[in-house]
Amino acid sequence: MRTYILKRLLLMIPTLVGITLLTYAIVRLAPGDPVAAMIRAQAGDINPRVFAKEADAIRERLGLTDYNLWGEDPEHIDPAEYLVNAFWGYGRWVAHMVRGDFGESMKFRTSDGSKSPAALYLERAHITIPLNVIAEIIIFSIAIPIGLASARYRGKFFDRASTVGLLLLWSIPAILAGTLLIGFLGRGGIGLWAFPPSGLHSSGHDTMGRWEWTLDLLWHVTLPIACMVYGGLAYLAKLGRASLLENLRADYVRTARAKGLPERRVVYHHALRNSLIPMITVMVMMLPALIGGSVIVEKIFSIHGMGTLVVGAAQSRDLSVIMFGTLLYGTLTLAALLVADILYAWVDPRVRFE
Amino acid sequence: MADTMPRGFRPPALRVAVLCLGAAALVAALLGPARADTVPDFTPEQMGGTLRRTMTAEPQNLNPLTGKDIYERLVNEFVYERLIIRHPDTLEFEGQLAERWDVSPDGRVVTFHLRPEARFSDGHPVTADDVVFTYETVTDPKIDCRSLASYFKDCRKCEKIDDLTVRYTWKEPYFKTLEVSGSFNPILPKHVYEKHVRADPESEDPKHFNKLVQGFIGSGPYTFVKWTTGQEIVLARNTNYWGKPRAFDRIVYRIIVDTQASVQAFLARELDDLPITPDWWDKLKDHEERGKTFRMYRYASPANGYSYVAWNNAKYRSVTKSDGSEERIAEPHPIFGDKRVRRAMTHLIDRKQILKHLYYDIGQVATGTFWPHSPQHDAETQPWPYDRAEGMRLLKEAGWEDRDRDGWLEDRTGKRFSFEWTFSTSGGDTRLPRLLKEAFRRVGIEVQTRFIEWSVFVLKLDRREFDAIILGWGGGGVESDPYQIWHSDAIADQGHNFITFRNAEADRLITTARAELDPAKRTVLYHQFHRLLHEQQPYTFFIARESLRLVSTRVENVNVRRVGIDIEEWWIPKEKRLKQGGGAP
Repeated sequence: MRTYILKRLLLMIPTLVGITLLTYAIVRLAPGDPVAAMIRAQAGDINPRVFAKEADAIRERLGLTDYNLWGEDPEHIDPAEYLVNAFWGYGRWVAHMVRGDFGESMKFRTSDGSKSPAALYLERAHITIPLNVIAEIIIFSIAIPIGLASARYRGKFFDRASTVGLLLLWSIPAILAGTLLIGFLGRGGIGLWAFPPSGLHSSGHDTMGRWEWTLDLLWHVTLPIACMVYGGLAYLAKLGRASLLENLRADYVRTARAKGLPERRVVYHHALRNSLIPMITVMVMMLPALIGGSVIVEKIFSIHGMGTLVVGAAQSRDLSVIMFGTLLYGTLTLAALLVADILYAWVDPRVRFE
Repeated sequence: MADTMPRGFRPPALRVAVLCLGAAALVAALLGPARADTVPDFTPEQMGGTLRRTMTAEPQNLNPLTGKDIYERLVNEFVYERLIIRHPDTLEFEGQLAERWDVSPDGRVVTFHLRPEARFSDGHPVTADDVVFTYETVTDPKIDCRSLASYFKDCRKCEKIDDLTVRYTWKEPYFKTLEVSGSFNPILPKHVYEKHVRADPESEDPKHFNKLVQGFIGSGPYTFVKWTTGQEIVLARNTNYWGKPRAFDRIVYRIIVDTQASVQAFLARELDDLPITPDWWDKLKDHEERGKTFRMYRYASPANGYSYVAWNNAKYRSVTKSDGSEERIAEPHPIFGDKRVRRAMTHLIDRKQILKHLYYDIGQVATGTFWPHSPQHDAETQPWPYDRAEGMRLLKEAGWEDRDRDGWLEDRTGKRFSFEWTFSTSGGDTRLPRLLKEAFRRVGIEVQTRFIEWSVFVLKLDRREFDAIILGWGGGGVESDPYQIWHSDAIADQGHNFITFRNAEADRLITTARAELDPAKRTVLYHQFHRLLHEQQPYTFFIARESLRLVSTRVENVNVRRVGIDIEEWWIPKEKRLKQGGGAP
């Protein structure tokens, strides 16, 4: 077991190198100059001569001067040289990264002015993780009972109704659902309810007492969480249903029934326990997603989360933020895979690793 | 795009047309600043309460010199002051930090006499040292504010005469010397920032001026309180303010990304004002609450700007010289090098219909580069009408007709009238490209639409590698200088004249007007220039935008002035103030 874990850990290194190298190359080799484009877009000015110095200063800070690929027109540069420069640039990023230097963002900053990618992700993690944890808990506590109930009453009305209903929910895009939620249930909309249409706090929340503050927060997160939850239900419910059905057909269930155990005991004691095993994988694999955040939900509800950070960085080709994100999600995903495999062996004695 | 930093003129900015429309509304909120006799003397009952506003995105930073976006200006507008500003009705300059000023007859020397009572929010008086310090910081090559500095490149010096007198000396006579010297720089306190400017920018010194992002001290009626990223920015009344106090205790900007959400927040009375886009104007104009809980304002502001189709007047060819170096030679564009073709293109675009259907009839068909309400604008010039027959006649005259009866126009050598129309993918709305492509197909002109990312798009502009593009310029202020966009000097070095418009008469008019200090004579020159542009049609001028704004009926004293709406005139009666901004019920 120990050698297996060690092997898997060592294998993570080349995988991560592959992921980061690919990301780096894509970001750097795409034509156009994001540094100049950003400065000019902000300033509302297009004359690059005026900003050349400023762009150089920013490139210097970001450590992009040695192997500058941006700002060169790809049609006017030797492709071989271009590729080699990209590799050197990547090497430089690795060398800095190993020493714990992740560079600085060219676009984002935290409330206290830090531009380090780690601080940026951390600041937003405070918002994204609790939101996602609540959403996941709700998803699990609704979807699994639904799934199990539909398996138990397979072919009956409840099974069919829940299948159709969940499929419908699953097919609604979040952007539409979010807008509808705000429009129908948000303040200033149709007026069915008065949930706040944006943000996580009311203005003046810093003067509220603890209870009032918590209530205010819950009040604000209701719509975003509803928007995050509805789509995830279908998948998990279907999984629970399939898993329980499989177990209900298994020999040991037939044996249990044959020896005259009451149906309740057969289902809830024997079959249910075993059918929860595949859920472990799902639960662990959701860990990286917890940090991912949902760009669409964050945008619609003006939530300052990690999703908008990642996408915003990708759009403006904010290299250090993209690379930190890639490394973070890459590591988390690989780690989650490993943890899931280990848990599997732990729960199911039949699984053995060589 | 925006014009607030310097209250009058700023470099016209480049934006994708559709993007501009969204942002233009915001810009309007920025301009329209008064602080003149138009700000009332508020009674103690009128003072108090919070003005709740919104932004769709965050500023990059709140440093008044290195901050570059409109959001920074939206906030710093209330924190900083300038020597002079334009009166919102007469558009004439009047003193803000300066009490009076003298301009030498040739316009080269501008002397400002500061108000002895002016104070920064920390109580220090505003002196000539602060003005000189600000000028030196702006022009310091180590400070990240090259765009502002570029306006002072013809300024020889800024010197202190005595504590309350400061003098700018310029190299050339120029009609904007007073405006640039007096209204472009927000005045910073030397005693606070000197050490930050002196700090070594090379070392990782967090104290260096370029690294300061918030908490700035100015002399304006409000001071910075806090900025919670992704949530809100708060300003509070400057209790030490030297001038007339403003009505609100606090101004709070909430960051709301989604337009639907911000409109709803406004309708739920969580915001006091909201700039909106034409499509929202159209949706809300018959809203039952209009007139009851909110009013809608539609007005022109010098910040509005216009959108246009730019026809590349030149085509560049690379030539390898004998020493092996490469040179790019401009030749007239095979299609758009001919002014008859450019004018024909204008005749073939139904701008009125586009204005009606895509922009809900908000704005007007543009005829030139000046703000339609500026004296520079020649009111006699009417837009070329949509006239297919005239367009086809001009094309025939220029040699384009359907010679082989295949439905497409050809030139004399049989080459088809076909060109590439480049759009930026960040433009959003794709209706316009599709509409134009179809309109031109019907008259036998083949348009190949090409969508590219913004950063590649600007690269194409720099290299002048395009046939036609759609873009917008932000407002150039009350009186703008066409030099940067239209003079042939701005062709080289990737200047703003990216269409390579080269016209000797235009150059002459621009240069003469720049040195003409008599406004009446200058106006004559600019009217001539306007007519020349109209005749030449280097652009098809598209739509001159307007500002749209929702304001809550809680707010009193909302006035539309010639430069727009100034929120410093506003106040909210006590009974309408909220204890807290809408929490859980």
